[in-house]
Amino acid sequence: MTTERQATANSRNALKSTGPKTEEGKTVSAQNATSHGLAKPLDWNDVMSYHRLLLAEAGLREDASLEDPLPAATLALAQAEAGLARARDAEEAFLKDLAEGKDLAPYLRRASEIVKEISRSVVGASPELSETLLASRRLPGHEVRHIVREHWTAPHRHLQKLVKYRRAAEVSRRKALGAWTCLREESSERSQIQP
Amino acid sequence: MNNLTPKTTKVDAPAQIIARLSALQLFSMERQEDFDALRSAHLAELSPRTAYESTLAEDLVRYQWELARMRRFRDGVLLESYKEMAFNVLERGDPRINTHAFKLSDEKFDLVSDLVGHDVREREVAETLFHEKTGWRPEDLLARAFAKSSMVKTCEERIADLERRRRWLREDYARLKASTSHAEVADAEVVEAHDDD
Repeated sequence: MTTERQATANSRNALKSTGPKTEEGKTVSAQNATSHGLAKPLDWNDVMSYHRLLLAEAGLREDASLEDPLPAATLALAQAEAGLARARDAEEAFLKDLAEGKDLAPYLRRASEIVKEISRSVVGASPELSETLLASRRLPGHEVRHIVREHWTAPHRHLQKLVKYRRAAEVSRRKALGAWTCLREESSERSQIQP
Repeated sequence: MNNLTPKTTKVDAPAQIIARLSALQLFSMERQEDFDALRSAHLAELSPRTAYESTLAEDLVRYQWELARMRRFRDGVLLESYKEMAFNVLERGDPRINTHAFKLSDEKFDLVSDLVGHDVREREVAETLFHEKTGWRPEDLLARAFAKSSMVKTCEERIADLERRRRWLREDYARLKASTSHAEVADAEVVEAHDDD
């Protein structure tokens, strides 16, 4: 257990943590909240949409007490579903922007061109697009690799972050769904046993 | 107090949830009709019976689409790497030595383009010609490209990750369906007992 002395030391040390010091660090830190918005609180309307759906699924009334386990688990599952929907939408929108080259920082735009060229060549699109791809192949190999490395790594890192959020949201949903399913089964069994 | 109302109510999912789930953002090179066909086939197989089952089923459809998308992307990256190696072999005789593609003659350039072309017949001819010219079998080169490309590895990892998560969701879906059936049986028995009273 933390002693009083340790707690005081922790508080004192925390006061020394004043965030990034360099201009570069401050710029990066300033973008933390705006880069994906997945750390913000959930939109309550989204949670309520899922909540209504799940209440109906469990045969519960909207005014069911949250002190009972099943309504509480229903709300937890609704929150997990809303969180997952948000994470999934963010990942999907980023991928879409990457493929379409919309509203992206310059490094992402170049990356999106590469992704688009590659994707289109796979789908077997128009000959002129294949020509673009072939033309890009006429660049010196090291230059192409440099472009890909520079312009793929940054969006790839951002995508990894979004995937991490989505995976965490899926784990939360899985746990919440497991608990909710068990409680719903127990509730059904209880209603069978009771005279 | 004993609750005699059925526990599983068949309601339509709130429109915004289903709309949000089924409105996958397709890339411009993807076709809506392909997605719709995949969606119909999977929903028919999963046959969701309740609103919540529908939301999970839609989620599973998205996984299938994402997997197909990532496989297409991996194939594209692989072909790029294969092409680069084919250039190197044609110019330097070694897939590892990078060449300046702009130095290639049009004949060699066209040969490599045919190697990765969509016309099967042209590709076969190009493969034979490539083998005769260089002594390299195209399939060996493709295997080497697969082993060497870090982007292909990244795609493979992402495919494996998506596949694993899709399997988990499939398990959860099966569990939810079993639970719904369980609740329906219990409801039926309660209603039956109530009728007997």
